[in-house]
Amino acid sequence: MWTHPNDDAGLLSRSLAGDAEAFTALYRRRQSAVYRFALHMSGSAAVADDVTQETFLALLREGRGFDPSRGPLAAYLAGIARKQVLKVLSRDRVYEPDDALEQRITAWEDALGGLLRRESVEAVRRAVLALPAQYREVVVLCDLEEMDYAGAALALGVPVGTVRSRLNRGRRLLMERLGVGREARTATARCTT
Amino acid sequence: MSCEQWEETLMDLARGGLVDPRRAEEATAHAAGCESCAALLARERRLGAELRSLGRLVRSMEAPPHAEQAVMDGFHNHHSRRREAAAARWLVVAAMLALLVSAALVLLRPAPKHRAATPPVEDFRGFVAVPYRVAPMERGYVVRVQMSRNALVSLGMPVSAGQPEVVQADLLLAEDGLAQAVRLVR
Repeated sequence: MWTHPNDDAGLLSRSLAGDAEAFTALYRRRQSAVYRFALHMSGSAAVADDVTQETFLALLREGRGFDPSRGPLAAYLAGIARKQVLKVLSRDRVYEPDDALEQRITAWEDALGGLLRRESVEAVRRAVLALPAQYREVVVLCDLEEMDYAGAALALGVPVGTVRSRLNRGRRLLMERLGVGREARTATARCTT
Repeated sequence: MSCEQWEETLMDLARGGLVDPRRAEEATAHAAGCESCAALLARERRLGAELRSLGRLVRSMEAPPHAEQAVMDGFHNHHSRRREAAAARWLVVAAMLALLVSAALVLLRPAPKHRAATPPVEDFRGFVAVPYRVAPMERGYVVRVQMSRNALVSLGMPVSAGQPEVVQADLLLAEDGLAQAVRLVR
């Protein structure tokens, strides 16, 4: 497949050939999404930092396996980051949100001039963090990072249908945890149309 | 569209992901006429809005600056190791090639003919062809004999006055046994 030297695939190809400038450009372009994914998955800025570094180093080792015809590099990177996060989570089991992250979020909220209600956002963040990993990862990719189903499927290594069903289940769990459950369905008569 | 059928479209409808316009229209119409389903759609959309808020809140978050330095250090180490490994591979290949060439030279060297009967090439120096030799000799062998001075003269060998009456000489014999050349043993 033809690639432009400055698109993701071109930068990766040059990076794997030893071009430091290309790798720097690729890192700066994609590190933020990898960091955020790891942050949402782990709830820890320190883990997100480590995972971001490990993800790009793994890209150097495994990058020749990237096939642009199968999907974007962003999804491929998310797949690597996911493995790194799951490795940490399985090793350390439970992650409580750390103070550093709390402070950063507070700082961002202040910067946004109070446009968002802290309680609400914090509740959503904790609810996402409390989801089982297989539902959390699809919610993070599809709802927080706004990745399409196909990209998420590539990142997770599952069919698109599985992404949809896990996302649906994850959102149901979130509603229950956030108190916006589906009891209304029982309270309100189901229509027959 | 029944409520059960409508619920299958709920998530995609709320996320704006229904790609079939006719199905999207049916689902929207159902929600407009069904209070219960409309409530579910409203909750689904509220959840989506909360998630998007969280997503936007952290959208500008980035890995700390030291992470880039660590990654670039890793990049340089990685390629340095690759270069060293490549150099080592070339050394091994070069050594194997040298070994192969040496082995080929040894194996393909022409074997000396009649090694037992024929002395080394330099031992043929000093031979004087006999006068009756008519054709070049292809194969032959050398024998050491004692000869009288007269016999030497008859074979065309120059003889000096100071030489003894009987001398040692090498005769180069052809395959038919005829002498082809003679030399004195010193």
